[in-house]
Amino acid sequence: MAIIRVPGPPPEAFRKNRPISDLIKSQIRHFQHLEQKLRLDLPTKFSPHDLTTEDAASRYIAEMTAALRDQSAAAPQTTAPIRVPRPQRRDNTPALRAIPKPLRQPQQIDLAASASAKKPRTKKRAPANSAKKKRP
Amino acid sequence: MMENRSFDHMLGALKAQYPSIDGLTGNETNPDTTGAQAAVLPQAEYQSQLDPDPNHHFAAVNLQIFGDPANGPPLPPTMQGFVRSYYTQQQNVAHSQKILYYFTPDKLPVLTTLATEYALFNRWFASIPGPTICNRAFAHYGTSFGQVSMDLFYVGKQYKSIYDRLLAANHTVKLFYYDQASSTMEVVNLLQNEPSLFGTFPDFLRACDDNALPDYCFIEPNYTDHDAPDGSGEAIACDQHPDHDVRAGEQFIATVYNKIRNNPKLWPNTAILIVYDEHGGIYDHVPPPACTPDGFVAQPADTGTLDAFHFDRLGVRVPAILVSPWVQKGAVINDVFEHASIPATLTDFFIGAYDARSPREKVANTFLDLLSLDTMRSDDDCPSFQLE
Repeated sequence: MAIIRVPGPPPEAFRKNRPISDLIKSQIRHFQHLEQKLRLDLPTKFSPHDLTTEDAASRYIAEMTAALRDQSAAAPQTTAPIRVPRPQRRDNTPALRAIPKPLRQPQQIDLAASASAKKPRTKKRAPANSAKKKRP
Repeated sequence: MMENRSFDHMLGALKAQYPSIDGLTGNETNPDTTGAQAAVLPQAEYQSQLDPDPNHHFAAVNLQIFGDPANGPPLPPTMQGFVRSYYTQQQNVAHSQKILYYFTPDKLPVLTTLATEYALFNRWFASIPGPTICNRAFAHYGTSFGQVSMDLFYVGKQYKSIYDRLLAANHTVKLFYYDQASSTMEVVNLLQNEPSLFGTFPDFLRACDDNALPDYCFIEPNYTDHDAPDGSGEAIACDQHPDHDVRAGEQFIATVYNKIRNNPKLWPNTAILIVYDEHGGIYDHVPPPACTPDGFVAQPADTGTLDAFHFDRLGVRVPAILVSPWVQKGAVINDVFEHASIPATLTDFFIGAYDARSPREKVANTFLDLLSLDTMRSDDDCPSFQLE
Protein backbone atom coordinates (compact mmCIF):
# COMPACT_ATOMS: atom_id res chain seq x y z
CA MET A 1 0.00 0.00 0.00
CA ALA A 2 1.29 3.43 -0.89
CA ILE A 3 2.66 5.68 1.78
CA ILE A 4 0.29 8.57 2.37
CA ARG A 5 1.80 12.02 2.70
CA VAL A 6 0.57 14.17 5.56
CA PRO A 7 0.98 17.92 5.20
CA GLY A 8 1.86 19.90 8.29
CA PRO A 9 0.67 23.32 9.36
CA PRO A 10 2.49 26.37 8.00
CA PRO A 11 4.69 28.38 10.38
CA GLU A 12 2.08 31.11 10.70
CA ALA A 13 -0.37 28.60 12.20
CA PHE A 14 1.61 28.85 15.44
CA ARG A 15 0.01 31.65 17.46
CA LYS A 16 1.13 31.50 21.04
CA ASN A 17 -0.44 34.85 21.79
CA ARG A 18 -3.89 33.55 20.88
CA PRO A 19 -6.38 34.28 23.68
CA ILE A 20 -7.13 31.18 25.69
CA SER A 21 -10.32 29.23 25.09
CA ASP A 22 -12.85 28.24 27.72
CA LEU A 23 -11.13 24.89 27.80
CA ILE A 24 -7.79 26.33 28.85
CA LYS A 25 -9.52 28.68 31.29
CA SER A 26 -11.04 25.63 32.89
CA GLN A 27 -7.70 23.85 33.00
CA ILE A 28 -6.16 26.90 34.68
CA ARG A 29 -8.98 26.97 37.25
CA HIS A 30 -8.26 23.38 38.13
CA PHE A 31 -4.59 24.13 38.66
CA GLN A 32 -5.33 27.32 40.61
CA HIS A 33 -7.61 25.34 42.87
CA LEU A 34 -4.74 23.00 43.66
CA GLU A 35 -2.21 25.80 43.96
CA GLN A 36 -4.28 27.38 46.71
CA LYS A 37 -5.30 24.17 48.37
CA LEU A 38 -1.74 22.86 48.54
CA ARG A 39 -0.18 26.29 49.10
CA LEU A 40 2.35 25.69 46.40
CA ASP A 41 5.21 28.13 45.99
CA LEU A 42 5.89 28.41 42.28
CA PRO A 43 9.19 29.81 40.97
CA THR A 44 7.25 32.47 39.05
CA LYS A 45 4.60 34.67 40.62
CA PHE A 46 1.77 34.53 38.11
CA SER A 47 -1.03 37.03 38.28
CA PRO A 48 -4.33 35.41 37.33
CA HIS A 49 -5.07 38.48 35.24
CA ASP A 50 -2.02 37.83 33.09
CA LEU A 51 -3.03 34.31 32.11
CA THR A 52 -4.86 35.42 29.01
CA THR A 53 -2.79 33.94 26.18
CA GLU A 54 -1.84 30.37 25.38
CA ASP A 55 1.80 31.26 25.94
CA ALA A 56 1.19 32.64 29.43
CA ALA A 57 -1.19 29.84 30.32
CA SER A 58 1.27 27.18 29.24
CA ARG A 59 4.06 28.68 31.36
CA TYR A 60 1.82 28.61 34.42
CA ILE A 61 0.60 25.10 33.66
CA ALA A 62 4.18 23.88 33.19
CA GLU A 63 5.22 25.18 36.60
CA MET A 64 2.12 23.75 38.25
CA THR A 65 2.62 20.37 36.63
CA ALA A 66 6.22 20.30 37.78
CA ALA A 67 5.23 21.39 41.28
CA LEU A 68 2.56 18.72 41.60
CA ARG A 69 4.89 16.01 40.44
CA ASP A 70 7.73 17.22 42.67
CA GLN A 71 5.49 17.57 45.68
CA SER A 72 4.14 14.10 45.29
CA ALA A 73 7.60 12.67 44.81
CA ALA A 74 8.76 14.38 48.02
CA ALA A 75 5.74 13.50 50.11
CA PRO A 76 6.20 10.68 52.64
CA GLN A 77 4.04 7.63 52.12
CA THR A 78 1.71 7.82 55.08
CA THR A 79 -0.95 5.53 53.81
CA ALA A 80 -0.88 2.08 52.44
CA PRO A 81 -1.40 1.72 48.72
CA ILE A 82 -4.96 1.14 47.66
CA ARG A 83 -5.70 -2.52 47.51
CA VAL A 84 -8.92 -4.07 46.41
CA PRO A 85 -9.75 -7.73 46.00
CA ARG A 86 -8.65 -8.79 42.58
CA PRO A 87 -11.76 -9.50 40.55
CA GLN A 88 -12.05 -12.84 38.92
CA ARG A 89 -10.75 -12.69 35.38
CA ARG A 90 -13.03 -13.48 32.53
CA ASP A 91 -12.82 -17.13 31.64
CA ASN A 92 -11.18 -17.10 28.25
CA THR A 93 -11.49 -20.75 27.42
CA PRO A 94 -12.51 -21.48 23.85
CA ALA A 95 -15.88 -22.80 24.95
CA LEU A 96 -16.82 -19.62 26.76
CA ARG A 97 -15.33 -17.41 24.08
CA ALA A 98 -17.77 -18.98 21.66
CA ILE A 99 -20.79 -17.86 23.67
CA PRO A 100 -22.07 -14.58 22.22
CA LYS A 101 -22.35 -11.76 24.69
CA PRO A 102 -26.02 -10.88 24.42
CA LEU A 103 -26.36 -7.12 24.43
CA ARG A 104 -23.15 -5.15 24.55
CA GLN A 105 -21.13 -6.36 21.58
CA PRO A 106 -21.34 -4.65 18.21
CA GLN A 107 -23.90 -6.34 16.00
CA GLN A 108 -24.60 -3.86 13.26
CA ILE A 109 -21.58 -3.85 11.01
CA ASP A 110 -21.43 -2.74 7.42
CA LEU A 111 -18.47 -2.59 5.11
CA ALA A 112 -17.42 0.68 3.61
CA ALA A 113 -14.57 -0.49 1.46
CA SER A 114 -15.62 -3.49 -0.52
CA ALA A 115 -18.69 -5.58 -1.10
CA SER A 116 -16.50 -8.63 -1.54
CA ALA A 117 -15.04 -8.52 1.93
CA LYS A 118 -16.68 -10.89 4.35
CA LYS A 119 -18.40 -9.69 7.51
CA PRO A 120 -16.44 -10.02 10.71
CA ARG A 121 -17.42 -12.79 13.05
CA THR A 122 -18.78 -11.58 16.33
CA LYS A 123 -16.72 -13.29 18.99
CA LYS A 124 -13.25 -14.06 17.68
CA ARG A 125 -10.81 -12.29 19.93
CA ALA A 126 -7.48 -11.26 18.53
CA PRO A 127 -4.33 -12.13 20.44
CA ALA A 128 -4.13 -8.60 21.73
CA ASN A 129 -3.18 -9.47 25.26
CA SER A 130 0.43 -10.48 25.02
CA ALA A 131 1.46 -7.38 26.93
CA LYS A 132 -0.83 -8.17 29.82
CA LYS A 133 1.83 -9.89 31.87
CA LYS A 134 4.04 -6.88 32.24
CA ARG A 135 4.29 -5.30 35.64
CA PRO A 136 4.83 -1.68 36.56
CA MET B 1 -8.69 11.67 22.63
CA MET B 2 -8.92 14.70 20.37
CA GLU B 3 -10.96 17.87 20.82
CA ASN B 4 -14.18 19.37 19.58
CA ARG B 5 -15.06 18.21 16.08
CA SER B 6 -18.26 16.53 14.94
CA PHE B 7 -18.53 13.40 12.83
CA ASP B 8 -20.05 15.15 9.82
CA HIS B 9 -17.50 17.97 9.96
CA MET B 10 -14.55 15.58 9.73
CA LEU B 11 -15.90 12.46 8.04
CA GLY B 12 -19.32 13.32 6.63
CA ALA B 13 -17.97 13.66 3.08
CA LEU B 14 -17.02 9.98 3.03
CA LYS B 15 -20.64 9.02 2.43
CA ALA B 16 -20.35 9.98 -1.23
CA GLN B 17 -17.81 7.21 -1.79
CA TYR B 18 -18.88 4.85 0.99
CA PRO B 19 -22.68 4.86 1.32
CA SER B 20 -22.65 2.76 4.50
CA ILE B 21 -20.97 5.66 6.30
CA ASP B 22 -23.72 7.81 7.79
CA GLY B 23 -22.35 11.11 6.59
CA LEU B 24 -23.72 13.95 4.54
CA THR B 25 -25.76 13.85 1.34
CA GLY B 26 -25.03 17.53 0.72
CA ASN B 27 -28.71 18.39 1.08
CA GLU B 28 -28.68 18.97 4.83
CA THR B 29 -29.62 22.47 5.92
CA ASN B 30 -30.16 24.64 8.97
CA PRO B 31 -32.16 27.86 9.09
CA ASP B 32 -30.16 31.00 9.71
CA THR B 33 -31.49 33.93 11.70
CA THR B 34 -33.09 35.49 8.61
CA GLY B 35 -35.17 32.35 8.09
CA ALA B 36 -33.22 31.32 4.99
CA GLN B 37 -31.96 27.75 4.75
CA ALA B 38 -28.17 27.47 4.87
CA ALA B 39 -26.74 24.28 3.37
CA VAL B 40 -23.79 22.15 4.39
CA LEU B 41 -20.79 22.94 2.22
CA PRO B 42 -17.41 21.22 1.71
CA GLN B 43 -15.53 24.38 2.59
CA ALA B 44 -14.06 23.67 6.01
CA GLU B 45 -10.63 25.20 6.50
CA TYR B 46 -7.80 24.10 8.73
CA GLN B 47 -7.77 27.29 10.79
CA SER B 48 -9.31 30.75 11.22
CA GLN B 49 -12.80 29.72 10.20
CA LEU B 50 -14.33 28.72 13.55
CA ASP B 51 -13.16 31.72 15.51
CA PRO B 52 -14.58 32.40 18.04
CA ASP B 53 -14.77 28.89 19.40
CA PRO B 54 -18.37 27.72 18.88
CA ASN B 55 -20.36 27.57 22.09
CA HIS B 56 -20.94 24.01 23.26
CA HIS B 57 -22.12 24.42 26.80
CA PHE B 58 -25.28 22.57 27.75
CA ALA B 59 -27.81 25.27 26.86
CA ALA B 60 -26.10 26.03 23.54
CA VAL B 61 -26.18 22.34 22.64
CA ASN B 62 -29.88 22.33 23.54
CA LEU B 63 -30.35 25.06 20.96
CA GLN B 64 -28.31 23.13 18.41
CA ILE B 65 -30.23 19.87 18.92
CA PHE B 66 -33.74 21.01 19.84
CA GLY B 67 -33.84 24.55 18.47
CA ASP B 68 -34.40 26.01 21.94
CA PRO B 69 -31.70 26.89 24.47
CA ALA B 70 -34.07 26.59 27.41
CA ASN B 71 -35.93 23.41 26.60
CA GLY B 72 -35.04 19.89 25.55
CA PRO B 73 -37.28 16.83 25.33
CA PRO B 74 -40.12 16.37 24.57
CA LEU B 75 -39.09 18.76 21.79
CA PRO B 76 -37.91 16.71 18.84
CA PRO B 77 -34.12 16.61 18.25
CA THR B 78 -34.18 18.13 14.78
CA MET B 79 -30.50 19.22 14.69
CA GLN B 80 -31.71 22.49 13.19
CA GLY B 81 -30.26 25.01 15.64
CA PHE B 82 -26.52 25.01 14.88
CA VAL B 83 -26.45 28.12 12.72
CA ARG B 84 -28.67 30.06 15.09
CA SER B 85 -26.48 28.99 17.99
CA TYR B 86 -23.29 30.15 16.30
CA TYR B 87 -24.96 33.41 15.28
CA THR B 88 -25.32 34.39 18.93
CA GLN B 89 -21.55 34.78 19.24
CA GLN B 90 -20.89 37.32 16.48
CA GLN B 91 -24.36 38.31 15.20
CA ASN B 92 -22.97 37.75 11.71
CA VAL B 93 -25.25 35.72 9.45
CA ALA B 94 -22.59 34.76 6.91
CA HIS B 95 -20.15 33.72 9.61
CA SER B 96 -22.78 31.69 11.45
CA GLN B 97 -23.30 29.49 8.38
CA LYS B 98 -19.71 28.26 8.56
CA ILE B 99 -20.74 25.98 11.40
CA LEU B 100 -22.16 23.73 8.64
CA TYR B 101 -18.90 23.47 6.69
CA TYR B 102 -17.21 20.10 6.40
CA PHE B 103 -13.87 18.78 5.21
CA THR B 104 -13.35 16.95 1.96
CA PRO B 105 -11.44 13.68 2.43
CA ASP B 106 -8.35 14.92 0.62
CA LYS B 107 -7.86 17.56 3.32
CA LEU B 108 -7.77 14.97 6.12
CA PRO B 109 -5.66 12.14 4.69
CA VAL B 110 -4.93 10.57 8.06
CA LEU B 111 -8.39 10.50 9.59
CA THR B 112 -10.19 9.49 6.39
CA THR B 113 -7.63 6.81 5.53
CA LEU B 114 -7.86 5.25 8.97
CA ALA B 115 -11.66 5.51 8.87
CA THR B 116 -11.89 3.58 5.62
CA GLU B 117 -9.03 1.15 6.20
CA TYR B 118 -10.04 0.06 9.70
CA ALA B 119 -13.29 0.24 11.71
CA LEU B 120 -15.37 3.41 11.76
CA PHE B 121 -18.11 3.92 14.34
CA ASN B 122 -21.22 5.38 12.72
CA ARG B 123 -22.83 5.96 16.11
CA TRP B 124 -20.22 7.05 18.63
CA PHE B 125 -21.72 9.94 20.59
CA ALA B 126 -20.31 12.28 23.18
CA SER B 127 -21.49 11.15 26.60
CA ILE B 128 -23.14 14.46 27.49
CA PRO B 129 -24.61 17.23 25.31
CA GLY B 130 -22.10 19.61 26.82
CA PRO B 131 -18.45 20.66 26.98
CA THR B 132 -15.07 18.98 27.33
CA ILE B 133 -14.47 18.30 30.99
CA CYS B 134 -17.63 16.36 31.77
CA ASN B 135 -17.28 14.37 28.56
CA ARG B 136 -13.68 13.45 29.19
CA ALA B 137 -14.71 12.28 32.66
CA PHE B 138 -16.73 9.52 31.05
CA ALA B 139 -13.60 8.22 29.34
CA HIS B 140 -11.74 8.11 32.64
CA TYR B 141 -14.47 7.14 35.11
CA GLY B 142 -17.47 5.99 33.09
CA THR B 143 -19.43 8.92 34.52
CA SER B 144 -19.12 12.64 35.17
CA PHE B 145 -20.55 12.31 38.69
CA GLY B 146 -23.47 14.55 37.83
CA GLN B 147 -21.48 17.32 36.15
CA VAL B 148 -22.59 18.83 32.84
CA SER B 149 -20.09 21.66 32.76
CA MET B 150 -16.42 22.47 33.04
CA ASP B 151 -16.51 22.40 36.84
CA LEU B 152 -13.97 20.37 38.70
CA PHE B 153 -14.91 17.48 40.91
CA TYR B 154 -12.21 16.10 43.11
CA VAL B 155 -13.99 14.49 46.02
CA GLY B 156 -16.76 12.11 46.80
CA LYS B 157 -16.16 9.83 43.88
CA GLN B 158 -17.93 6.52 44.36
CA TYR B 159 -16.45 5.03 41.20
CA LYS B 160 -12.76 4.47 40.65
CA SER B 161 -11.01 5.68 37.55
CA ILE B 162 -10.12 3.06 34.98
CA TYR B 163 -6.49 3.64 35.93
CA ASP B 164 -7.03 2.79 39.59
CA ARG B 165 -9.02 -0.26 38.63
CA LEU B 166 -6.35 -1.57 36.30
CA LEU B 167 -3.53 -0.87 38.75
CA ALA B 168 -5.40 -2.69 41.48
CA ALA B 169 -5.66 -5.65 39.14
CA ASN B 170 -1.90 -5.58 38.56
CA HIS B 171 -2.00 -4.05 35.11
CA THR B 172 0.14 -1.24 33.83
CA VAL B 173 -1.40 2.09 32.77
CA LYS B 174 -0.18 5.52 31.75
CA LEU B 175 -1.68 8.85 30.76
CA PHE B 176 0.64 10.58 28.35
CA TYR B 177 0.16 14.33 28.20
CA TYR B 178 2.02 16.15 25.47
CA ASP B 179 4.46 18.04 27.69
CA GLN B 180 4.44 19.82 31.01
CA ALA B 181 3.21 23.05 29.46
CA SER B 182 0.19 21.32 27.96
CA SER B 183 -0.29 18.89 30.83
CA THR B 184 -3.43 16.94 31.47
CA MET B 185 -7.07 17.89 31.04
CA GLU B 186 -9.85 16.96 33.47
CA VAL B 187 -7.79 14.56 35.58
CA VAL B 188 -5.67 17.13 37.38
CA ASN B 189 -6.79 15.39 40.56
CA LEU B 190 -5.05 12.24 39.38
CA LEU B 191 -1.96 14.27 38.61
CA GLN B 192 -1.98 15.55 42.16
CA ASN B 193 -2.50 12.21 43.83
CA GLU B 194 -0.94 9.74 41.46
CA PRO B 195 1.71 11.52 39.36
CA SER B 196 3.37 8.24 38.52
CA LEU B 197 0.41 7.56 36.25
CA PHE B 198 1.61 10.29 33.92
CA GLY B 199 4.21 10.64 31.22
CA THR B 200 4.89 12.92 28.29
CA PHE B 201 4.45 12.29 24.60
CA PRO B 202 8.22 11.74 24.18
CA ASP B 203 7.91 9.16 26.96
CA PHE B 204 5.23 7.45 24.90
CA LEU B 205 7.44 7.41 21.84
CA ARG B 206 10.33 5.98 23.86
CA ALA B 207 8.06 3.33 25.33
CA CYS B 208 7.15 2.30 21.81
CA ASP B 209 10.80 2.10 20.82
CA ASP B 210 11.56 0.03 23.90
CA ASN B 211 8.56 -2.27 23.38
CA ALA B 212 7.49 -1.19 26.82
CA LEU B 213 3.99 0.18 26.34
CA PRO B 214 1.76 -0.16 29.38
CA ASP B 215 -1.28 -2.37 29.06
CA TYR B 216 -3.42 0.74 28.60
CA CYS B 217 -2.32 4.20 27.46
CA PHE B 218 -4.44 7.33 27.27
CA ILE B 219 -2.77 9.88 25.01
CA GLU B 220 -3.56 13.59 25.25
CA PRO B 221 -2.74 16.03 22.46
CA ASN B 222 -1.06 19.38 22.93
CA TYR B 223 -3.74 21.85 23.99
CA THR B 224 -1.86 25.13 23.40
CA ASP B 225 0.64 26.82 21.14
CA HIS B 226 3.70 27.38 23.30
CA ASP B 227 7.46 27.30 23.40
CA ALA B 228 8.56 23.83 24.35
CA PRO B 229 9.67 23.71 28.00
CA ASP B 230 12.82 21.82 27.01
CA GLY B 231 13.87 24.60 24.66
CA SER B 232 13.43 22.46 21.58
CA GLY B 233 11.36 25.06 19.74
CA GLU B 234 7.73 25.75 19.05
CA ALA B 235 5.15 23.22 20.21
CA ILE B 236 2.03 23.76 18.15
CA ALA B 237 -1.36 22.69 19.50
CA CYS B 238 -2.41 19.42 17.93
CA ASP B 239 -5.75 18.86 19.67
CA GLN B 240 -7.77 20.19 16.69
CA HIS B 241 -9.79 22.37 19.06
CA PRO B 242 -10.94 25.43 17.11
CA ASP B 243 -9.04 27.59 16.22
CA HIS B 244 -5.98 25.32 16.26
CA ASP B 245 -4.69 24.11 12.91
CA VAL B 246 -6.28 20.78 12.07
CA ARG B 247 -3.17 19.63 10.16
CA ALA B 248 -1.17 19.51 13.39
CA GLY B 249 -3.69 17.04 14.76
CA GLU B 250 -3.48 14.97 11.61
CA GLN B 251 0.26 14.72 12.05
CA PHE B 252 -0.15 13.89 15.73
CA ILE B 253 -2.50 11.00 14.98
CA ALA B 254 -0.20 9.81 12.20
CA THR B 255 2.78 9.88 14.56
CA VAL B 256 1.03 7.68 17.11
CA TYR B 257 -0.20 5.34 14.40
CA ASN B 258 3.17 5.07 12.63
CA LYS B 259 5.01 4.42 15.85
CA ILE B 260 2.90 1.36 16.55
CA ARG B 261 2.26 0.33 12.96
CA ASN B 262 5.98 0.22 12.16
CA ASN B 263 6.99 -1.75 15.24
CA PRO B 264 6.49 -5.45 14.50
CA LYS B 265 6.43 -6.28 18.21
CA LEU B 266 3.68 -3.77 18.99
CA TRP B 267 1.51 -3.80 15.90
CA PRO B 268 0.05 -7.32 16.31
CA ASN B 269 -0.74 -6.71 19.98
CA THR B 270 -2.06 -3.18 20.09
CA ALA B 271 -5.41 -1.62 19.31
CA ILE B 272 -5.68 2.14 18.85
CA LEU B 273 -8.92 4.03 19.45
CA ILE B 274 -9.05 7.54 18.00
CA VAL B 275 -11.99 9.47 19.39
CA TYR B 276 -13.06 13.10 19.90
CA ASP B 277 -14.39 14.28 23.24
CA GLU B 278 -17.36 16.22 21.89
CA HIS B 279 -18.61 18.02 18.80
CA GLY B 280 -17.52 21.50 19.80
CA GLY B 281 -20.75 23.12 18.63
CA ILE B 282 -20.15 22.01 15.03
CA TYR B 283 -22.97 20.57 12.93
CA ASP B 284 -23.89 16.91 12.80
CA HIS B 285 -27.09 15.58 11.29
CA VAL B 286 -27.75 12.54 13.53
CA PRO B 287 -30.01 13.19 16.55
CA PRO B 288 -28.39 11.87 19.74
CA PRO B 289 -30.31 8.90 21.17
CA ALA B 290 -31.69 8.29 24.64
CA CYS B 291 -29.57 6.23 26.99
CA THR B 292 -29.65 4.59 30.39
CA PRO B 293 -29.84 7.26 33.14
CA ASP B 294 -26.60 7.62 35.04
CA GLY B 295 -28.13 7.87 38.49
CA PHE B 296 -27.29 11.57 38.81
CA VAL B 297 -29.38 14.69 38.25
CA ALA B 298 -28.02 18.06 37.11
CA GLN B 299 -30.31 20.86 38.21
CA PRO B 300 -31.45 23.71 35.95
CA ALA B 301 -28.96 26.03 37.63
CA ASP B 302 -26.23 23.76 36.31
CA THR B 303 -27.64 23.06 32.87
CA GLY B 304 -28.58 26.67 32.20
CA THR B 305 -31.95 25.50 30.90
CA LEU B 306 -35.42 25.18 32.38
CA ASP B 307 -35.00 21.46 32.86
CA ALA B 308 -33.04 19.20 35.15
CA PHE B 309 -30.91 16.67 33.27
CA HIS B 310 -30.99 13.01 34.22
CA PHE B 311 -28.08 11.91 32.04
CA ASP B 312 -30.57 9.95 30.00
CA ARG B 313 -29.56 11.08 26.52
CA LEU B 314 -26.22 11.33 24.75
CA GLY B 315 -24.35 14.25 23.25
CA VAL B 316 -23.69 14.97 19.58
CA ARG B 317 -21.95 12.38 17.41
CA VAL B 318 -18.15 12.47 17.14
CA PRO B 319 -15.54 10.71 14.99
CA ALA B 320 -14.31 7.41 16.41
CA ILE B 321 -12.07 4.87 14.69
CA LEU B 322 -10.65 1.57 15.91
CA VAL B 323 -7.30 0.67 14.36
CA SER B 324 -5.71 -2.77 14.44
CA PRO B 325 -4.42 -5.30 11.91
CA TRP B 326 -7.10 -7.63 13.26
CA VAL B 327 -9.91 -5.29 12.22
CA GLN B 328 -11.85 -5.93 9.03
CA LYS B 329 -10.86 -3.41 6.39
CA GLY B 330 -13.61 -0.84 5.92
CA ALA B 331 -15.83 -2.05 8.75
CA VAL B 332 -18.59 0.41 9.66
CA ILE B 333 -20.14 -0.13 13.08
CA ASN B 334 -23.76 0.89 13.55
CA ASP B 335 -24.23 0.12 17.24
CA VAL B 336 -24.33 3.03 19.67
CA PHE B 337 -21.16 3.82 21.59
CA GLU B 338 -20.17 6.62 23.94
CA HIS B 339 -17.13 7.44 26.03
CA ALA B 340 -18.24 5.12 28.85
CA SER B 341 -17.54 2.38 26.31
CA ILE B 342 -13.82 3.00 26.92
CA PRO B 343 -13.64 2.00 30.62
CA ALA B 344 -16.32 -0.62 29.93
CA THR B 345 -14.17 -2.26 27.27
CA LEU B 346 -10.99 -2.07 29.31
CA THR B 347 -12.62 -3.42 32.44
CA ASP B 348 -14.23 -6.29 30.58
CA PHE B 349 -11.01 -7.18 28.81
CA PHE B 350 -8.45 -6.77 31.57
CA ILE B 351 -10.44 -7.40 34.73
CA GLY B 352 -13.70 -9.17 33.97
CA ALA B 353 -16.58 -9.03 36.40
CA TYR B 354 -16.55 -5.67 38.17
CA ASP B 355 -19.68 -4.24 39.65
CA ALA B 356 -18.57 -0.93 41.13
CA ARG B 357 -19.15 1.19 38.07
CA SER B 358 -21.73 3.63 36.84
CA PRO B 359 -25.08 2.56 35.36
CA ARG B 360 -24.01 4.07 32.05
CA GLU B 361 -20.78 2.14 31.95
CA LYS B 362 -22.50 -1.08 32.89
CA VAL B 363 -24.64 -1.00 29.77
CA ALA B 364 -22.15 0.65 27.41
CA ASN B 365 -21.23 -1.33 24.33
CA THR B 366 -17.69 -2.69 24.22
CA PHE B 367 -15.60 -2.88 21.10
CA LEU B 368 -12.65 -5.24 21.26
CA ASP B 369 -14.65 -7.96 19.57
CA LEU B 370 -14.21 -5.95 16.41
CA LEU B 371 -10.74 -7.47 16.33
CA SER B 372 -12.38 -10.28 14.45
CA LEU B 373 -10.11 -11.49 11.67
CA ASP B 374 -8.75 -15.02 11.73
CA THR B 375 -5.51 -13.85 10.17
CA MET B 376 -3.69 -10.64 10.79
CA ARG B 377 -3.71 -8.25 7.86
CA SER B 378 -0.44 -8.07 5.97
CA ASP B 379 1.85 -5.06 5.96
CA ASP B 380 0.84 -4.36 2.38
CA ASP B 381 -2.76 -4.12 3.50
CA CYS B 382 -2.12 -1.52 6.20
CA PRO B 383 -1.35 2.09 5.29
CA SER B 384 1.59 4.13 6.50
CA PHE B 385 1.96 7.86 6.69
CA GLN B 386 4.84 10.14 5.86
CA LEU B 387 4.85 13.49 7.63
CA GLU B 388 5.82 16.46 5.45
